[in-house]
Amino acid sequence: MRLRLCTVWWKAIVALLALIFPASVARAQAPAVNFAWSEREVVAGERFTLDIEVVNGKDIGNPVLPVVDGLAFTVLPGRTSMSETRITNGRSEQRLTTTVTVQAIAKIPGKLTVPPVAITVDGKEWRSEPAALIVRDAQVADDVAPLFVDIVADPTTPFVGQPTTLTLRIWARPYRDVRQNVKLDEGSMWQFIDLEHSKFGLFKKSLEEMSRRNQRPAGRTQLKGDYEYFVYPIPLDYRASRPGPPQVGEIEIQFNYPTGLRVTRDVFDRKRMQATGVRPISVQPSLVDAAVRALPAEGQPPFFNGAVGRFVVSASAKPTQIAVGDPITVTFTVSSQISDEGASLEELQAPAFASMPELNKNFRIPSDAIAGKISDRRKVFTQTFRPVTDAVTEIPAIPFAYFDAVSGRYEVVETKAIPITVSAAEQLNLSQIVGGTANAVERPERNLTAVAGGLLANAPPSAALLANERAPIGLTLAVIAGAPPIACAAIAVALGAKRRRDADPLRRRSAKAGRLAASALPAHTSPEQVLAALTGYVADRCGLADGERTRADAVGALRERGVDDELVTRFDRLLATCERSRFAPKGDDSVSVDEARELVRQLEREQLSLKAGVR
Amino acid sequence: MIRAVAAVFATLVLASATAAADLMPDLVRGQDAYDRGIALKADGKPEDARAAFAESAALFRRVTQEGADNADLHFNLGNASVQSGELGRGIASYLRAQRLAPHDSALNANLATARSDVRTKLSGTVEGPFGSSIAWWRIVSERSRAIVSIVAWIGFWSLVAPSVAGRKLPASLRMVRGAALTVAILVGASVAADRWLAVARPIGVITVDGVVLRKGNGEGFGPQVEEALTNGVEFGVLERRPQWLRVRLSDGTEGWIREAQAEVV
Repeated sequence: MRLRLCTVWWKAIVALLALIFPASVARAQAPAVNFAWSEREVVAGERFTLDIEVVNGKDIGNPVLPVVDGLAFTVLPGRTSMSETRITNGRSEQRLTTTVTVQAIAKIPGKLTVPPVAITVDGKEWRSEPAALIVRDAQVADDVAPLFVDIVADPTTPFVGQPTTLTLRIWARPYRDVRQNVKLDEGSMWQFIDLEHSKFGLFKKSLEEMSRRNQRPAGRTQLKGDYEYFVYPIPLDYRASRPGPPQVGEIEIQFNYPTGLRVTRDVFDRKRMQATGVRPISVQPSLVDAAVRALPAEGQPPFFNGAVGRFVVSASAKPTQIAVGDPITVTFTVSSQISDEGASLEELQAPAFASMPELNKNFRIPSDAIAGKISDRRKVFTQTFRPVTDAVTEIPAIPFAYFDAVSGRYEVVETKAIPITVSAAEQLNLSQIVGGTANAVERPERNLTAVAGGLLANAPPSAALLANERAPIGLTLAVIAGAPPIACAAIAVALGAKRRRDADPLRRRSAKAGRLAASALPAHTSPEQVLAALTGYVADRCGLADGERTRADAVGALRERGVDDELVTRFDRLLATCERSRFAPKGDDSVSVDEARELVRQLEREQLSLKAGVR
Repeated sequence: MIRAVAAVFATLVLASATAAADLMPDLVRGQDAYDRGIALKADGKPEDARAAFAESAALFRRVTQEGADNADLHFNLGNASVQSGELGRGIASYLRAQRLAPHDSALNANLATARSDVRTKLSGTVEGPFGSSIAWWRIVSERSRAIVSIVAWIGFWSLVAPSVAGRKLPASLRMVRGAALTVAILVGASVAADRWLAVARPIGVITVDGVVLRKGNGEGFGPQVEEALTNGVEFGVLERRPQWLRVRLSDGTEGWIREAQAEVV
């Protein structure tokens, strides 16, 4: 039993290892050889190299070098090897790259054609293509244009609406510093393009797309005439809307071409090249190798609406059983037959259904342009057809014309006819109108179709149009809003004062003192009564006790409350007169009641506290 | 009490009255010109029709300048302006009418039609003080709300007065007093909110074609967007400086335009 379990475990482990390490079943690819010249334009007396890269070669022989006048070859000793294993979808691939380097020195300026270089790998001989080399004299100044730009198209003469690939090519001459014996590579040369101030027209979008992917145009070495350049291609998918040269916007490349180099070292003591000076260069495309052709008039169907590409069409209708005048929703689908997204559907227009005689003789169709919906490589248009007669039995085949740019001809495709059933329009018969005896007919309810747009009628002139409907916010409203709370507050204050007075007998007595004194001082009053009235008045006003109603008490109370001395003196003098008159012979009662009233009036104006010493 | 409320109504009505008798002829002539424009348009004379509509708009506008301020009048002025080709001024008039009668279906239909004729189509909407869906109170016009608020306010104080005088009110009247205060405050606050929004977040409409939205308040500033704005484009006003407005379009784009190129509602 234990042995059986072990066997099962071993099988599982082996299977797992086979999954995890598929290298055990990896295969090496067939050998391949690549020949790469380091430069195509060289300086006489300077070394350059030919790298022979052998991929997956086991038995690699020595290169067989041709004999060329003015060119000396040396096979460098030692070969570099690099092993690489790639695992893709569970399959592994081994790649062993061995590089054989051949050094060359050109001795005489001029043009050289190097015959094929041969090398034998695993018994098979591989040969390079013949290579053209330009050998220059190091002492001769380089007067060739350091930078130029052109635009090429594929195809070079597309039709209007046909997808085209335009390529903006920036040609930059590699900078060579004779003194430092250094030539800048394509990556270094790209750094001298002033991207910020350059104008790329429509190609800007392609450049931005590359930038988003952290990429840049990859420069490759190419000879232009007798000179070597790095070419940086920027492709653009283009579709012309009118004939003539492609409209790609303003293009102007700003380039800071180096004029000198110096060697610097970074923090890791690595050698760096740095430009000691630059020469600003501004170039525009010198060549636009493309011309958009107009679509041919010959053979153009009358219902052609500008579609370029290859298409098939289909149609469906719903409902198919309707009455005259009722709407049928027709769905018309145009599918592109070009699989590489070459046929853009964005600008594809719907057929002009309303102007097709096969359709408009039996259907009422809106003439408005309709927008379609794009899904995958299809564009779907929806239109409403209304049959005008019950004799219609089908929606006929709808033709669609397009221009096939590859064949250069117009093609017409059609949908299949869609059978429909149209009943007569419903009408009221006379008996129904006059209330006859015919049986009532159930009619389905219908919704009217609103017509969008258009202004509704004015409001008729009336006094209402002269009114002011805004809220009358202003002083009037403030007064109206403020009056009620102010009135309530006034009432509350008055009633509060009354309540407080009523709650205190002394205060109440003080408040009534004036009125009591006035009533106690009629015109003919005896001195005794005047005396009683005045002392009583002071006692009430000042809150004196009943036993404190003498002349001295009254005068003292007034003085204690800070009443003016003159007034107190007059008051005292009058009281003294009253006292004397009480005991004077009858008829000698010369006390002035008027003066007594005047004194009361003056004291009424005084603020007399109910407490002594408080004014 | 009843007399007091009646007096308040009378005051409010009088406060809003205009010189109706003087302006009625202009109103009638304006409508006549509008009807004439409709007839000329039907006769296939668009230029003559446009002139008649322009005359109608001028007369309606004069009535508004004399103090009449109501939704129907602004609606008529909007119709005449749109028909005369002044799309932006028409939309501005509709927006003024909408402030007073926000749920008028005919008004909203004509405003939608006018907006559909604006050539510069922008995403989003200009969030002005009169179109906000959160302002539920606009189901009632501002004037009606003001009257309701004042009447409730006076009613509340009328029921406060007996309590101040020491009389105890029955429970039912105390409830009425509380309700009156609530209504007065809420409805009054809605009027105040509308007024505040109109001042704090004004909106406007461009009234000419080819308006350049600039980066600053001067012709020396470069354009903010490549496209020129067309007649009828609505915006919110962010800032005012002499002769210039800083605006925000419905798609959120901000910039400066000349004040003379627009009408602030």
